[in-house]
Amino acid sequence: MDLQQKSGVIAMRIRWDLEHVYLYLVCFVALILIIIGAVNLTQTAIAYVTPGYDYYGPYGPGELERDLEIWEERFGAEFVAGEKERYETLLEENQRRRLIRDLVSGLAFVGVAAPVYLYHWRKIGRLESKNIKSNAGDEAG
Amino acid sequence: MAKAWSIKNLYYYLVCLVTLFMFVGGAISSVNSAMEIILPDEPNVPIFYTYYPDYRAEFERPVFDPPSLEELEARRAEQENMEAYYRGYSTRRLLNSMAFMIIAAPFYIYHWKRIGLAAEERGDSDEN
Repeated sequence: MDLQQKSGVIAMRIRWDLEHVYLYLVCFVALILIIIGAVNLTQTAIAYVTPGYDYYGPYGPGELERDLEIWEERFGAEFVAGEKERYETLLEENQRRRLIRDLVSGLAFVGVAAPVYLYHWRKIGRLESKNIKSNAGDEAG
Repeated sequence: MAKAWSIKNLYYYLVCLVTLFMFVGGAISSVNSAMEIILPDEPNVPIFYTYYPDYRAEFERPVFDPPSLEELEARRAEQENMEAYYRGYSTRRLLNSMAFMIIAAPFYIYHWKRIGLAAEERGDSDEN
């Protein structure tokens, strides 16, 4: 067994101490949070390029057209058209705001979890290389 | 850092793990709540939702006797004000999320230090 193989065996053996378990658990959860953030960002990008139709508004397909007809008869077609424009303008602005909020939310997941992940992952790396060196030293001694 | 499996070390690490992610969750939630405050939805109530025609039978022409436009506008303004009022909960959600961070942080710091002290007591390495 050469030194590299020995080091691997030693590293595998010592990895189950409490500190390693803790560091790997933190990395695991932080990585899941990063993945959730990445999925959120992707979904926001998809929502941006495929704007959805509001099915629940007064002009949605589920609404009764005769309702709008009687409004038109009473207040005029211009009034109904103006209302439709107001509603759709606000709807579009709200959708834009929602996209920005979703974008920031995805970035928050990644931005908060990534430093936690990187910090603990580097700590694992330092710890393992130090352990490998010290164990290799013991073996040689 | 303490490496040995003992109930005390396990307890310290578990507290650190939970409080760390309480802090992380609080931070993410705070950003989301802050965005709801900074960039809220505009209330958008269609005027058709301020008065409903009365349908007595399915195919019958509905009874449509709405109040004046001024009255309908007043009703819409009232509904939109109500929506704006409920948005005020964003502030409460922000404070709730910050509470998570503020309360979890000292517990994390205290227990993280205890891990170091426990390692010193046992003579474990504390260089990492």
